[in-house]
Amino acid sequence: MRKNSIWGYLFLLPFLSFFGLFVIFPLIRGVYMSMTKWGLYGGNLGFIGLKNYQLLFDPNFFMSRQFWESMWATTQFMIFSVPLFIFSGLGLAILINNQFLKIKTVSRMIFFVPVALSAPVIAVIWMWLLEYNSGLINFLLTFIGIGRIPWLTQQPWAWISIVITTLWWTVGWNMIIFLGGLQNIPTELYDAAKVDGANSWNTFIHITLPGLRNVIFFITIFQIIASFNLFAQPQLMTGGGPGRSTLPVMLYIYQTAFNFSLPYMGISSAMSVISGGIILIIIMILFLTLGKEAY
Amino acid sequence: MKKVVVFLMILSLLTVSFVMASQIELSFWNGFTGPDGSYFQKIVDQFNTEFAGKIHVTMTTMAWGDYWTKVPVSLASGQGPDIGISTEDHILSIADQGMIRPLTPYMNTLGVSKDKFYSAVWDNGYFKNQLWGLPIDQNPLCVLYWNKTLFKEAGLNPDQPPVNRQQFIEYAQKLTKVVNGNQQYGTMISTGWPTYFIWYSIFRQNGGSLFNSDHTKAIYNDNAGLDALQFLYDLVYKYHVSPTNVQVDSDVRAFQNGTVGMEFNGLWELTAYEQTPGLDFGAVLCPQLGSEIPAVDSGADYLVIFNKKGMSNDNIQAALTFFKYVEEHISIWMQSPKLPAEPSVLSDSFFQSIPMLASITKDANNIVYPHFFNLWGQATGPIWDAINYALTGKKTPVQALNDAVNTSNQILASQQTY
Repeated sequence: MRKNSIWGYLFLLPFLSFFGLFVIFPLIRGVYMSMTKWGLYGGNLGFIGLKNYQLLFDPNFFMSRQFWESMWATTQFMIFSVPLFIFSGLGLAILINNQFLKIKTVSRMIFFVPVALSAPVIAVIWMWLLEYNSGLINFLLTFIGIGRIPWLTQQPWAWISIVITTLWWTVGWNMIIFLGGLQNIPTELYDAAKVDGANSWNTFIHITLPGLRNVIFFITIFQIIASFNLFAQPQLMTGGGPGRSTLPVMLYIYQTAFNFSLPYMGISSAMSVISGGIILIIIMILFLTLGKEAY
Repeated sequence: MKKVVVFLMILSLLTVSFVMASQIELSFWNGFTGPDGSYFQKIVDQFNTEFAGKIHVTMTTMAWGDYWTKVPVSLASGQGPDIGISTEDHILSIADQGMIRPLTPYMNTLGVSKDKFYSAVWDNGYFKNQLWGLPIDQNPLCVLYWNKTLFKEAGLNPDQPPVNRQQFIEYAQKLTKVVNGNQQYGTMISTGWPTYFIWYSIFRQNGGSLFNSDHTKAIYNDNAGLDALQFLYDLVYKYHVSPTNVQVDSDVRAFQNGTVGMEFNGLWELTAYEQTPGLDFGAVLCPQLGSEIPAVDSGADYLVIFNKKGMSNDNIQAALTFFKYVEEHISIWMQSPKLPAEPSVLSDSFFQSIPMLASITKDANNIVYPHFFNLWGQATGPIWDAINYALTGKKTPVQALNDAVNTSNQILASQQTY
């Protein structure tokens, strides 16, 4: 019994050492930095306790205002994207899993390929598709008589553009996971339902969804985290605009931290700690409410 | 026989290592990634050939964002580059933080003095009674490009761009028309990059000053700033010579496609336009669109010696030798393209052979630099937002500038608390 445990720990050791060095250590150090004034060149300019946190909750401090505005931008994106991406992934998976669809492999590939591309590539492709004066989408819209839309320079189009771009990019990931989940549901259940005379809607509600309970929970957690980390699409496509309405919190932290002549690394670390805390609370609430059913 | 060969090999190895040991190695970092970097590399390679055995310079390029992170961090840990490039906006900050050596004691060795250079670019690198960097180029941020073919079609002289605001509006109106079913515009004002540089040039042309002398208050919502922003706003919403909602780089694309008559951008677009087949265009520094004095916003590059731990006097002399060599062969770098930091480069025949640069340089005396200070970058950020709000029709120019001044003032006030 004891011998087996030792082997377990030994196999874990490589992963644990990387995890400790690249995740735990920076985490602890980041929390320490969040209680200092810290510059890129100057380094540690002094321990200041909770002053950074105090300033971030002070409505008169400009950085506090901008930080919470960026938090709201991220929240908006989460509201727009999380339910949409989960249901789209599920819908695509069901479509492709349909026994009447002959070209399963090709369809899977078509939807999954964008996932393999990197953020700048996606952003550049969509930036030019959505371009106001000469982009392909506006060209088609004028062709059918609707007229041009300022996709990246006005709201609500800026959010719509970012959501559509991100959906095209990452829905394949959700789809693949759901496909795996769907294929794990025993077909006997579907056969039994057919015999009982259930229509497809009832089958979906009473067999598919419950069977996918674990997978839905898993995807929800991951989608929330992924959407919370929104960074590259607004940076490259809208520059955070119009105004600062699409500037997400991760981009704001990055812009503040890597400021050359100003000692803002400490306060950006505090922003990161606060953001990390918020997402942690969200995930914990999810685990406590839905997690019990799934696990 | 074998013993002789081995002996000779060891002897040659020792000689080589002795030679190498007496050769001074200098590490040179900069942010010239991309095609322009290859011109600087040429100068470095030529230098290394001529000074083989005595001085060897190794040039490393990285994106500017990485550069400004790596340089301070590596210097702080006692390593890092010996020499490098500082752009005009960083030189004050790195001098303040003690990252570079003053070059004042070496001005005679380098053979430089203020009157050899355009005064604006010299003054930007000379402060607190010290010379901190050797200016090697100027990179104007507001260049007016115009399409000669479209000028001809509109009945305008293709070799005469507008020289004041009145002419600019007039020409733009003549160039705004429907051609073969497509809407052609006189100009295109982007709602983001690089419109700040156009606004700043007109603002300085109006005699404006961004902040008060001790940098405690933002004052750019005065007539100078408002007039500049109102002019750009009117081009879109009053004269309709620019489309609305121009996103970043759409103006570049349109200029290359020949659907816009005049376009503002930095000098860096010159290469792209030269390589566009069928585009017959001209380029000139931003004309006098303001009311007081000519001014053109610009960037610049300076050669600097870093305060690296343990840098010997021999290394410093080697660095100065390299700097002098670069200055003497600067025309090679001007191809990247850049404008010179010294008027004398205009008479260099190689510089004259580079397309368009000599004619653009004739207005180089109009170039101005902002008055940098440590919070300058943060404190001017709200102006970029204000321009975006105004040009997307979200706020009036007055409102946008007033709001920006409020935010700038808060940023400046944070100097006290942080």
